[in-house]
Amino acid sequence: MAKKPRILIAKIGLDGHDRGVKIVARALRDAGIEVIYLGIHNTPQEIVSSAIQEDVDGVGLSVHSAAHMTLFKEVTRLLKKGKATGIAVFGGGIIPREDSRALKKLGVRALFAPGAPLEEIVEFVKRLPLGRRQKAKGSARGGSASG
Amino acid sequence: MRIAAGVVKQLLKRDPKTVARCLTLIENGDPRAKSILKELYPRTGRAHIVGVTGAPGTGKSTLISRMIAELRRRQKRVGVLTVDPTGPFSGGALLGDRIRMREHFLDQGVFIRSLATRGCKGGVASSIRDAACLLDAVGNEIVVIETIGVGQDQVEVKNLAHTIVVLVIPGMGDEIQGMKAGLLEIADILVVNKADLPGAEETWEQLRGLFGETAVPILKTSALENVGVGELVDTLEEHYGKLQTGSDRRDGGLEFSRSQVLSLLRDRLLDRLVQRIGAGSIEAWVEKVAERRLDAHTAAEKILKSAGF
Ligand SMILES: Nc1nc2c(ncn2[C@@H]2O[C@H](COP(=O)(O)OP(=O)(O)OP(=O)(O)O)[C@@H](O)[C@H]2O)c(=O)[nH]1
Ligand SMILES: [Mg+2]
Repeated sequence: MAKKPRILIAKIGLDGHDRGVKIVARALRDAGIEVIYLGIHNTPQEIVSSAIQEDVDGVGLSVHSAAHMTLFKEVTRLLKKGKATGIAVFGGGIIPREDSRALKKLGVRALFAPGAPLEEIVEFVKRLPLGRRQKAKGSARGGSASG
Repeated sequence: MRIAAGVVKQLLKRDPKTVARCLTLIENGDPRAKSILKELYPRTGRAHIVGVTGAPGTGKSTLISRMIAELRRRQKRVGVLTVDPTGPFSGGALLGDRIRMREHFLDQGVFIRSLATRGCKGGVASSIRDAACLLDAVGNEIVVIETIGVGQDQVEVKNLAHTIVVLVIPGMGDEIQGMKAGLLEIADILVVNKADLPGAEETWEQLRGLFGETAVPILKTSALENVGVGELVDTLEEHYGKLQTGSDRRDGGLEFSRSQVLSLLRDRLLDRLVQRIGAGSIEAWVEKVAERRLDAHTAAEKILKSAGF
């Protein structure tokens, strides 16, 4: 069986509309991706712990709250702490330009504005490198166990 | 292939990243997975493996989440594998079971992994078995496998778990009649979930009418209202306890190992066959069958013959 891209899609923060994330999740599935759908009201800890257990290639977060800076910062910090920086973080929501720049510096790979074409998101995800997500500690002789 | 001691050491420390990574190797059919499992094999056989199955929407994930909470109260570490189908055309999958188990995301004693069937039935059974083995080896006292229980999948899950729990819900009346043979064959415990809904009593009576004579316990739960979960976990433990004693243990163990070896043999033989004569030549026979120029039995015979069997 071949490698398959695995992506975690979730809404983070307090606001509770899930239509947008659901549409993205379905579009990714229809494009041949394995999507772990985590719904609304997730905390950064819940996201990162799930991303690690599910060994995903990327985490797509929808944020529609003024707290986007803090939330994304916390997710990238926790991924770093969990030595799982190989997991790409991307996001969607209304994010002012200067924040957007700051987030990219933090390591957020892409930010999609509301109404961004689904194809764009699908293309981005399909181009993520597979299997670089997390290194298993200690490597297999004659090649790393991270695949 | 040799696997560095480091990986095994991290696994035995239950390092979530390493466990997750090894599950990916298993899913991808990576040869390194085999070496890791070989290394860990002596440490397996300690976990109680439970299959939870039932039609879509019967509340499997919600009930499993409640079971996890109860098992944690009983100091058990829990591994969970949820299996969902891969879309036949897209090859993608929407895996939505984990979302029901949110209260356990931050619990170090619970490891949850979503798996997609990836379109190959035989293969997926052996991946699930290996994944369960891994979760067993890293010290989970119980491993719960969620699968959709309609169609042919049911039979598969039978040989993957010690105890199979089948969920039905109120109002399934006629369907239950139709499921009787399948249920009888696989269920170790029957559960009427959503017992908070009207009609639960009737469904329970109906099951008793059908299964009263067998030793299969029939329970009622409401995952929504968290009712009946303690009794379900008691019943699980009782069932496993019986398997552990007397001749059941030997028979159960033999059956389990036999099905494991045979299913691997089937996979490997098929692989070798394909290697020997090529997938294309099998496909050519398949087309003949599809065009009704040949029956499937004859085609299988011819394929074996052309491979020199
Ligand atoms: N009334 C009631 N609803 C329940 C109960 N258990 C689960 N549900 C609801 O049933 C729906 C499906 O629950 P899930 O746990 O996702 O069911 P499932 O069998 O895992 O579903 P699939 O994985 O999609 O096959 C959800 O809306 C649950 O809230 C229950 O005991 N009573
Ligand atoms: Mg489910």
